Amino acid sequence: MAWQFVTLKLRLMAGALRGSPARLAGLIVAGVAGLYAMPAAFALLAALHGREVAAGTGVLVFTAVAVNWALLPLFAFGTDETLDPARLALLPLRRRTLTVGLFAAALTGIGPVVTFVVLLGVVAAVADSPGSVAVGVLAAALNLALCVTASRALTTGFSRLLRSRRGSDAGLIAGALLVAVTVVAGNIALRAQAARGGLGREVDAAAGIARWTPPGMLAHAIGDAARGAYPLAFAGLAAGAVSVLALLWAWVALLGHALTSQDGQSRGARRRSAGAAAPAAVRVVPAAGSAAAAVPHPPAGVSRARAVAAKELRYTWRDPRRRAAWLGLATALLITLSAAGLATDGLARSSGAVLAVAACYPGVLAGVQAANQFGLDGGALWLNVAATWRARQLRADLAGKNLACALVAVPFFTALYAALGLAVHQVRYPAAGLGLSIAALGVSLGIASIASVLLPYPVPDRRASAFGGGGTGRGCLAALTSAGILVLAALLLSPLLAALATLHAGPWLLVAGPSYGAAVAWAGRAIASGLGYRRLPELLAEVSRTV
Amino acid sequence: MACSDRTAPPAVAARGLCKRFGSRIAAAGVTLLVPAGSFCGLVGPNGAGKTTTLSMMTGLLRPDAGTVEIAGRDVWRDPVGVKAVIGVLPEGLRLFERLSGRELLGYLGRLRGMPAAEVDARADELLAVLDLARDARTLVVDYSAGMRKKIALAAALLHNPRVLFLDEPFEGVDPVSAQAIRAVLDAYTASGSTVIFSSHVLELVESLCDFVAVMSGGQILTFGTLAQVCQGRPLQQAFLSIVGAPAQQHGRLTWLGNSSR
Repeated sequence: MAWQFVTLKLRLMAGALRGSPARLAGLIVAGVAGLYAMPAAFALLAALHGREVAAGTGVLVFTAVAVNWALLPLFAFGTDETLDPARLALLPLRRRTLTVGLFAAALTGIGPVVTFVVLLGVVAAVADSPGSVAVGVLAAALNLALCVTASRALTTGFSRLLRSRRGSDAGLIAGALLVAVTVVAGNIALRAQAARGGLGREVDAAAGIARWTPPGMLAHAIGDAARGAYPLAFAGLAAGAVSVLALLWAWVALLGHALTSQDGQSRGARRRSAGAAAPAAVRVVPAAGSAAAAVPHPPAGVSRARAVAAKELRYTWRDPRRRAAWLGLATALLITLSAAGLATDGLARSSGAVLAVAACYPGVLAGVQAANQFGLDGGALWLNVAATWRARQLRADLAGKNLACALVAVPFFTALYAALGLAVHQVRYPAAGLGLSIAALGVSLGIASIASVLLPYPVPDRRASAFGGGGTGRGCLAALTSAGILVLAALLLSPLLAALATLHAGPWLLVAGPSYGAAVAWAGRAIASGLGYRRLPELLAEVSRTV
Repeated sequence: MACSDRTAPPAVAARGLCKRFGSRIAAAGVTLLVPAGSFCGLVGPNGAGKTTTLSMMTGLLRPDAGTVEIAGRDVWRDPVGVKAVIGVLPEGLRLFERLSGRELLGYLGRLRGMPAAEVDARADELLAVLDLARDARTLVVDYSAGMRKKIALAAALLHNPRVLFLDEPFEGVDPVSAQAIRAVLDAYTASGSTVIFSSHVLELVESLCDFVAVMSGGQILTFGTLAQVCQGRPLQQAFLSIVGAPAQQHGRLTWLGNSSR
């Protein structure tokens, strides 16, 4: 039966590529990249064989791969929802059949294959006897299973929180904080241990902590087997296997709940505010309009942008997919800032370079998630298209979307850097960081506007997962788009960074940063509206496709 | 499949089904006993709770309270057993869009554990009868609304269910496709199987069904044979008097139309 799920998934992947050259191109690019990267990663790891750091590195690679699998879908790309479990709801499938089948389908794809090869690289580095190779292959397989089940269980669990009623938003924030705090705690523990062991022992210090996590225990089992300590090795494997089973169980239990219950909040919200949900293009939403009411006749573009922004803000709150995006962003920021050690001593003596990277990152990330503005509108985009007969109107729509994004991101950044300022008892670097992050936001929003009209794709709204990617081949293209935006943003930010290198970091960036960012965002909108207005029908057709 | 006699347990026995979404009550104690072998129409205004009720009966939506039994099996205690004997054409039609029509049927049959040869033979026959044979290799995502209804009906019938649930099977379907669906349903019920379907098209309910349930505000207002419910009136009239039509509103919408321009 599991085989049926695997072939079903393969058929769906093939179907998704039918008649879509862009998706096919994305898949080919990813495939070629994988073909080069896989042997390279394997060889790099295998080259560690016999070195002292091999065991420690192995533990870290196993752990890092698992953590990335578990957390990355929450921040970017989503999980592979090619096989949407909701479509199986009517079939008489036993819990066990369903679990095994969905698991097998989740293992089918490019990502799992690449991951497995990388994990085998660790086996090549650490194992040195036939017995330990056998244990190693088993450990790698179990770790892959751990990766897949952890990512599914987490996205399904978070989706449940995202889709639930308001009360659970506290739980959601708590979850995000928990993840961030865990990372910070790990960071601090690592520093403490590295300090005891002296410099250059970071790998062993980190591995000393990571080895007690399930993936770490699996990796450690390979070393145990290599040393001939087979009972210890089997204990490690057993611990990994138990973790996999527990995660599988949690995933399917959460899934079962997700598929037989309905989204309470959105139904309620729809009913309560049917008026507010009306097409933004033809109606100024009262909440945003109250301040505007004092101004007699704002220019058409301004009122339109304001209406779109109000609609976007409502959607940010009500659409699980958007909440998922912001949640991921917030967690990512907390993790990076804390993991970079900025919260403690790093910032006080930070050079311009550290500041630049740390501050640009949040802004660019916030911008990247706007790279598919119209995809989230989906088929409803026709409401705007029907009310658009000039490129300027599209520009106003984009301005509204940018405004909504800034209204969420800027207060968040401000709070973040204010907290940082309090933590390090100074103003200069946090202020500069805030200015820089807003500049990065503006710059990436400008690029994202252009990407939105050139490379739109539909975003499925699935019951089981708010983190679904755009489907087969789409994930690769989305990843390439994000990478492209990152590179372009870095290029466009370079004048500001050059200025930062010559002048001292300081509050002047609070003026220069937002001004520069706003200018680039404005230019991006101007270009995007010109390009997009001509291909509005194609844009609508692309984002309305059922995935 | 054996024809059921009237002493057999009801094909569908829903008792006290309740469901609440936030502050809105979608089903407020729905009780419905549908005899085996009947063709039962579920009618009611928009928002009456028809889809919610059908979803709870078919194991797609967990009720807050109440029980559902299909042919004597509890839907929520024995979901596997129940899903094996029911066919559902749900609202929203969530299908694997990226399979062709024939692939879709093939997979659904295999996932139900049916022999592959049997699945393929039945799939071809269903596709032919429903006039989908020419589009058997087209992806479902490229199907029209009527074709989607037809392929979903084929999926619901593939395993020869004992009870068939149809949520608005004729909505958005052209007359030609509607005729094809009707012919299949006629053949299906002639064998003594049970059908429950919801619809707004009262003429259709009147001509197809032998039992009618009228729903409003999350409750069954009336249930009985067509003659019992209609009491000599056309179903349209009987329905409006049971549900209660709103009074005509005069003096509204005066801005609408040519005269005010």
